[in-house]
Amino acid sequence: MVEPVLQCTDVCMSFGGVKAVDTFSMTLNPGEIRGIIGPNGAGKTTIFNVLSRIYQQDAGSITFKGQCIDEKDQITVARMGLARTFQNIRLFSGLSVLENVKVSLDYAGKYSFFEAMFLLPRRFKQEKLTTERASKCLEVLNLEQYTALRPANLAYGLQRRVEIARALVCEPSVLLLDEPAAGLNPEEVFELIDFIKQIKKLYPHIAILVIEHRMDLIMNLCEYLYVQNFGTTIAEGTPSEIQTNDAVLSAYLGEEE
Amino acid sequence: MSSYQLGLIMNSCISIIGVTGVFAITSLAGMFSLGQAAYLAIGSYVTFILARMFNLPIFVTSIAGIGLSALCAYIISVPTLKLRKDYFALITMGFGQMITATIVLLERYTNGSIGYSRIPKVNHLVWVVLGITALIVFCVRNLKYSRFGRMCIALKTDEIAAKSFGIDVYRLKLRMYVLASAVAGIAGILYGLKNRVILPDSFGWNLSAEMQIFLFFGGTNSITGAVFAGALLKLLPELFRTVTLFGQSLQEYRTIIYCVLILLIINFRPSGVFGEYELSPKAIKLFVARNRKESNHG
Repeated sequence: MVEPVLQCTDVCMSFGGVKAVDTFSMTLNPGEIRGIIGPNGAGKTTIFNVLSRIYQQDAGSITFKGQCIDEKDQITVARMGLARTFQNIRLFSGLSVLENVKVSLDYAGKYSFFEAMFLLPRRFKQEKLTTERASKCLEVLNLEQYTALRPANLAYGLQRRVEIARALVCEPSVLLLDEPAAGLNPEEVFELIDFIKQIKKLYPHIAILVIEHRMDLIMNLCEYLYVQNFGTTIAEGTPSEIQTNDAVLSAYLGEEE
Repeated sequence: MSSYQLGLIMNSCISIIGVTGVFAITSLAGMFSLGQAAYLAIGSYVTFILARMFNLPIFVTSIAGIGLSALCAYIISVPTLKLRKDYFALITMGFGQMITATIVLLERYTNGSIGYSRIPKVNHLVWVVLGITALIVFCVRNLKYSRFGRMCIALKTDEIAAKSFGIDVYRLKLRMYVLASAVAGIAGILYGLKNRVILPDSFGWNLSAEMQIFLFFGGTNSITGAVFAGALLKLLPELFRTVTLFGQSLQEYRTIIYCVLILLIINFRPSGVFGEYELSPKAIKLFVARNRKESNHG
């Protein structure tokens, strides 16, 4: 048995009177891709925000790398190796594409405030190392010709890829992708599927959890799915099981009269 | 050079140091402080009072002055940096007022509102001032292009996203604020050495506001802009010294002139004169190359 890298049991989260997530449980093993699907307002992004500790859940507990993270904050969890992207792209507009990717390595940078101010040799050495790591990651996502540009000057699909690169560069244990295909055209979605497969090949130990609406992406990539509707999990299983599940069909297509 | 001209150079250098300090908090860490003048006051009063009390050379006591500026900034920011930006600005303003009031109250040591005079004379002060200014601008510029600068720009744009990449937003802001206050302390000491007398009034909230205005004029994300505006706007009133309007020197209308400038900037160039543009050898080369290309085409 493999030890799951991320596991949550009976997580509940409500806003005022609205139960956004009701007793959600899941496990994620190293190297696995799992998906959460469901209509709008099903509580998918809330789950992500609880997992990355932006929200504190009302009940239930989360274990990450064998440690309970219920009391941990966003920064600690990020440093433990949980990286994420955002549904509404949140790149840093004041930084170039390369800097956006570098910034995710910066908290662990190995030169001090003092060395930075006086341009001491270690600063150059470490900057070179982070630049190399970031460029390598940008190459994986085929972004090397855009490194000097500001994210605002890139096409939407490219911005999405920069977000993935920024989350990927620190080689996290778990990568949370929040609707990576939102706003992409069909061609870009195919590219994205290829990129994610590529990532899986290059970084086999990374576990990926993805939220998506696009069935082609989900069915193509994920090994296991959780289907959410109105905050509750209505079904879970492999993609082929989900495709024939009655509850899922009625949630997506409506009940037959 | 006449002592008047030397005085102008030193004034603008001191202004540059102050604005560079404000750059570290406002342009890098994205906070708005209206109390930076207080750290100038702490730096200079502590340095000169200790120097006279214990008969120590100024460069020894200035370490205490700068240190105490930084310490005060640390004490102030630990509980307040978690507040929203606007509340933080209010607190710093209150702190600034508190410091000037304290200086007046501690009359026994500070000579109150009469002013603390008989500050020892330093030879070749202008070179010292120029050197320190260059060093500080150099350091803050390096900081902007380091991992700390990047993390600052990230947290300024989006705190939640910054946190989800492991950036300790609170600690970074704290460091920047302490650094800026130490820099302000240095500016205060140089101000005292140049004028040979310090008054509580010279470190009032209008000095803090002035430094913020200079920064916004120069460009919110540009050190070049901060240096340029710090020097130019400090010298501008001097140019109008001889011009009179309604029987008063135009210099007296300084605040009005600054306000008009700020209104123009906000309307026509919201990111300041330089915006994000930085002057560097590389940028100049690029600019020259582009112009040459254009003239060749012409």
